[in-house]
Amino acid sequence: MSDPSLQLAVEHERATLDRLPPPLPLAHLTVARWLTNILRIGEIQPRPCAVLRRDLLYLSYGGLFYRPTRISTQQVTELPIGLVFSPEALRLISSVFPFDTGAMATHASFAAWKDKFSPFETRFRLTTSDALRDTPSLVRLLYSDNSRYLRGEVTADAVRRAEPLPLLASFLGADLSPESDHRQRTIECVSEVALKLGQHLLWIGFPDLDTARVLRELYRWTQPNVPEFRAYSYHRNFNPAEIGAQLEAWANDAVIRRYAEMQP
Amino acid sequence: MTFTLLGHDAPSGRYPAAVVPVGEREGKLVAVFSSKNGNVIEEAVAPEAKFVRHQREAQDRLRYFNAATSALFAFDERDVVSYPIAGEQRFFESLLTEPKFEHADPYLRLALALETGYDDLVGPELVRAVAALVENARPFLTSWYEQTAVRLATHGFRLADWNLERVLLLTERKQLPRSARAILQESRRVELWLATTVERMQMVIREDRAGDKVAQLGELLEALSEAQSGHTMPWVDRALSGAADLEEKSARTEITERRVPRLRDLTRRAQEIGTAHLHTRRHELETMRRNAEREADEFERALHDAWLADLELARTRATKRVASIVDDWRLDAGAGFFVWSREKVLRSASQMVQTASNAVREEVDLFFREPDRWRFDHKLFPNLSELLGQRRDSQWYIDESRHRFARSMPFTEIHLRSPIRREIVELIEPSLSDALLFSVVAANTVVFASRARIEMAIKHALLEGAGVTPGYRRAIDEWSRAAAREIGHSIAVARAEWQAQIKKQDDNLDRELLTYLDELARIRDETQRMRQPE
Repeated sequence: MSDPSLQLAVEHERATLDRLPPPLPLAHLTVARWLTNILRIGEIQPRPCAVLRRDLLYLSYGGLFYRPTRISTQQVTELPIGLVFSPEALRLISSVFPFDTGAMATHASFAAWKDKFSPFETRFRLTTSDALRDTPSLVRLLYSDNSRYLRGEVTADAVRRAEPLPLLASFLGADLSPESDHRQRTIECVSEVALKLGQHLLWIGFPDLDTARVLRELYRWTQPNVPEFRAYSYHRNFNPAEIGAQLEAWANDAVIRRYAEMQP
Repeated sequence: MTFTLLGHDAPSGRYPAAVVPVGEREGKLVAVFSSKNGNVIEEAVAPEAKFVRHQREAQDRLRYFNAATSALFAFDERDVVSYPIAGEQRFFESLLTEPKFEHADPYLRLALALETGYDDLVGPELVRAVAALVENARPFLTSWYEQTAVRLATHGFRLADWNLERVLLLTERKQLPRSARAILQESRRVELWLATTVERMQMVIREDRAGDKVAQLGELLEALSEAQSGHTMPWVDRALSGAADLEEKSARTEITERRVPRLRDLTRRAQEIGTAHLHTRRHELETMRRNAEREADEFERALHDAWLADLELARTRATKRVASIVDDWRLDAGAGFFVWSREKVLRSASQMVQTASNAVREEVDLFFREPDRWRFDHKLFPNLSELLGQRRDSQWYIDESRHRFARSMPFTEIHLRSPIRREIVELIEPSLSDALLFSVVAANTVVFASRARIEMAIKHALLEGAGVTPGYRRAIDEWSRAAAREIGHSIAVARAEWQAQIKKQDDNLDRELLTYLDELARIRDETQRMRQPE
């Protein structure tokens, strides 16, 4: 008999959930070298994924969590671009994972859990046709509400849920620091289709270079909506990890906090 | 293990730009990043990672690049320069006046100008940035304006110090409604108010200097608001917000209430926005102030540490360089020169003595083998003939030269009475003179070349040090003086050695010449004995 899957557990527990937390925005991290192409075609397209072996578009739920593995290219280094999309974009999501699959596949500190979760690619994949409902359900089951999810505080109720939710809760609650980071407790949303800037973009963070042209190209797709933006200064060889952390904070202040503070 | 710079990567994918140094440490490929807290971080990268490898010219130019204290800026893939992080403000200042950087991205130029801290550099870049935004992306103007105000505040500037409103107005004048344009054209005063900052407008309104023009101002504000098709202009809100702060009911308020009813609604809304912004902004500014103080302290410490580290590194490097050059100089000017010159002189002298000796022997041989021929042809050998014929003179010469050599007189001062001796000396003397002259020229060449190299090294150290901090300049001056003292000492030592060698050489020559004279005397005696009938 195979191990119980997250899919079955969520479906089993769904009836017990009363009020779901409001859905949060989706965030995507890309690189400055690709920005011109993104603005040219007006959408973020799926890219080949080594873990799930398909063309997929990865988004993090409720925050712009910097993940070098997600933006690794053949270059020595890249400047991050942060994009935050309206929760409405959840309608395009076909799979949800309760952790960062890239980190689970490659991160050394996750190795022991990777064995316990094997095969995590299928066992912890929540296939969905309604991510607007299923993603908040996952938050409710594992963290209780949005605030706790964003702080990474797993709810004690999770251990009393159907397997593998208790196993998942022990992983999410485990102290894997200092090697681990927010990726341990990030809900990952996967789309197999492109995400159009004009329909859902709320916020963009990019290097303050050729800013007028970037905004003009962006407005071609988003008009009459005017997304919020943050242009960061890049006048020295600043560390992309630090810039990524700043983007996370700016996106949170500008957009995500408003959604996180909404009451169900 | 040292860091070896191999190339760079431009993560923005464009030039000119700040670029990430890529190099090798302990056999591993690493990228160098600057942290916001002033630290420098090296991160290992995959060996197959792509970056721009520097050509030989750039490698030569950047061979003294220090990953811990310097950063790179590239105009294109080949044109890369390094600068000390501690001297970044000065580097950016010079960059902004660089002709090849004149048409660079206005937002990059603005970022660099802000880092310099000079308002006369920031102003023009702000105008360029605003103009580009108004032309290309007007809907984002409000947000950009707010972000820029915060950025300026973190660098100690106020947006109100520049007439950005004038830029907005002048750029948008074509799109103003006819009524507003007419007011601008007809009333010089109104145009003047609008052309100055929001604060100036508020001041004018507060002091009620607007008088009968306030109505026109109100109409203009309303017209401008309508002209923006629903997009609120920040300066309109701020102006109205300032106006709403008035406690007394001024003439402006009266006229506003009477002639522009809508203005009151706008005022109330602007006041609400202004209050909310003020609260948020005050909190942000307080946070920024605290962060800035903390960062300033951290930066001060980091700068101090970096300065000490740089100073020690540069001192060690300069000391090694000077020591190396002095060693080279000693080797060149000392050992090489003296060995060469001594050998040359001795060889020349020895050859001349040998030649003279052989000539004498041949002549004596001929005398015995063919006495008749020698007698008849003695004019062919006037030297020996005279020598042999003037025993008394020869004896005098021997005595005299021994006497003079005993008094260490230079052999060139000996008044030779014997022609053959004169000939020998005349043969030897030019060679010796040439050898000595050549030696002196060679020595001087080596000295001058060494001095030039030392001066270049000092100049390089000065240039390298001057870019970092005035402390370097003092340190370099001290090193230069120390180097000059050391060089002077070395020259004195070498000169003494040289003189000692010359003296020793002279002594050797004297000894050889005396030996020769003894030998010649012996030959004379023998010749004399042979000429006597048995």
